[in-house]
Amino acid sequence: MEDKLKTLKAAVSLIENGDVIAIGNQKPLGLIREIIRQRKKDLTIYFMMGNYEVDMLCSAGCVRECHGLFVTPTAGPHFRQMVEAGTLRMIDEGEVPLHMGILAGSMSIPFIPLKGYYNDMVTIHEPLDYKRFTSPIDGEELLAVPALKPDVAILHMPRADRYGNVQAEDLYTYDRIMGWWDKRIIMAAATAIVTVEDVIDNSEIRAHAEQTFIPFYEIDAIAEVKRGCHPAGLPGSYQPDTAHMETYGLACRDEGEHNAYLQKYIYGAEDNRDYLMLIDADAGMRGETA
Amino acid sequence: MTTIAADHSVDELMTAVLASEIKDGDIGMPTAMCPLADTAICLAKLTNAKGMVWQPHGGPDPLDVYDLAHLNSSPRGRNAAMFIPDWGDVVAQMTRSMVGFQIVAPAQIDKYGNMNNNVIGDHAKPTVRFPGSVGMPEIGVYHQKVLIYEPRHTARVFVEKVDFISGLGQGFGGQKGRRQKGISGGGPIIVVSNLAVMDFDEDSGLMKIRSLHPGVELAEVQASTGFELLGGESIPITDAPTAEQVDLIRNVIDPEGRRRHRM
Repeated sequence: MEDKLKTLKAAVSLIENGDVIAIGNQKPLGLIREIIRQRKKDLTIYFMMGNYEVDMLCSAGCVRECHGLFVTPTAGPHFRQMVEAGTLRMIDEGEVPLHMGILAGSMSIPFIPLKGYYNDMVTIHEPLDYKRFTSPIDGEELLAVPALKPDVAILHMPRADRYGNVQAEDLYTYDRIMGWWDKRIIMAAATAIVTVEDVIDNSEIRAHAEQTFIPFYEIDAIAEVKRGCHPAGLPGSYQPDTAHMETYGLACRDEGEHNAYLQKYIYGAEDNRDYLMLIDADAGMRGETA
Repeated sequence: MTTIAADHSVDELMTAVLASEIKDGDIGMPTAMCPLADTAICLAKLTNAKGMVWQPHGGPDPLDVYDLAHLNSSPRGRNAAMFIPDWGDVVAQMTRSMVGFQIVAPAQIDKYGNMNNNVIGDHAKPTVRFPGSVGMPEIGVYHQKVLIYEPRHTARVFVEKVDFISGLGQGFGGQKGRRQKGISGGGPIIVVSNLAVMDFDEDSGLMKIRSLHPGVELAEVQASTGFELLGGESIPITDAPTAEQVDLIRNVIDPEGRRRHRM
């Protein structure tokens, strides 16, 4: 098996300007900060429910177009401001078409048909390139939902070995809805990058094959990123850092403060370890133990 | 023997009307940030539709307690669901139109019941960008019925034509038109506002007045609506909730009054 373990920097350097990126529901925020640090441009991002990471990527000037179901308004104001200013395009996907598009992509077929599906997203949106056609089987009118083939899929998970066998205990037993997307973006993308809390030995993977969520042959790069979901939480591992989310929210009140936030926590930090030192220092200032 | 409530507020009236549209056997899906919808679901489950199947997060009927504090608690909570679906399960449930109903409160509603939760203005450069439509497209075409409510009936919400169709209404010509297009869901069947109850003309799919709330004149509803509502000569008054319904709403389901959000 090929060794796929890379530094975060090397893993993110696989992403090129203009790439189409699918973001997993277990958001790889450490990796997203590295995308910003490397000043990637003109990205198209696909996601289910956008949060903090969408606001941050957009505000840092990395994104040209968003495709998703929703962006949480409490995550930050930039997404809405930029769309209203016409500097960012949001393509509103439908729940079922978005998932059928990635299913088609993961199966390497050109489309999946839906029956009786109508709204403005599928009728007036040229970027989505839906087509109506007559079923060759029973003559019914169907909608072809084109395959979604991202250049890169990104995801954060609890652990993997250096070959790319990715494991999670019960992360997806209670959130199978989210896991369905996460697995298929990895299968559909040309390049799959997964960051993990811990890199473990292959023998530990083999001892618990039932916990392997994605096998090695789907993966192109693994990078170890501690607290890689911060400031969001990783179920079973750590809680969301609401104090830091508040710090981001306050910094969003004006552009100067927001730039200072990006400078301090992202551009000014060499890597994720540097970032976590800043986060722990903040916690220390609040009298919390890291 | 049912007793009409001695007094009731408009939010309680709206809750009771919505609850009456829910039937035994209906599978219901939750809508975020709609506490009045949640109140109606609890009321139905406790009174007229005890056999309704509630499924927050897609997992069927996790609860034995029906109040706003518990309704959408995780299936992993103390009242465990019977099943935890993955996305493939949810898609297959929706595309087969197994979901009975969902109660929604869109930002804009037009004369055909088209629902908009995406943008005000041009989609490419909107005046107002909303968070997003999430499942509204699916609600519009797959669910057996969609129940709409609006706590503030104004011409800003009730518009001639929505700026963006997030969820499909009755514009193909009512239920018959939908079937001809291969649409398996029934779409919106009722709109409950703080002024009146509306439904849709069977053939044209146009919105019409079904009943006026006590003390509300037709002229007031029409003046608050951005298009002409169809309606007959004598429009009935909306049925008042029963004493039992009002007691359940106030004292069991929603003692904190969360249902009055945006009223």
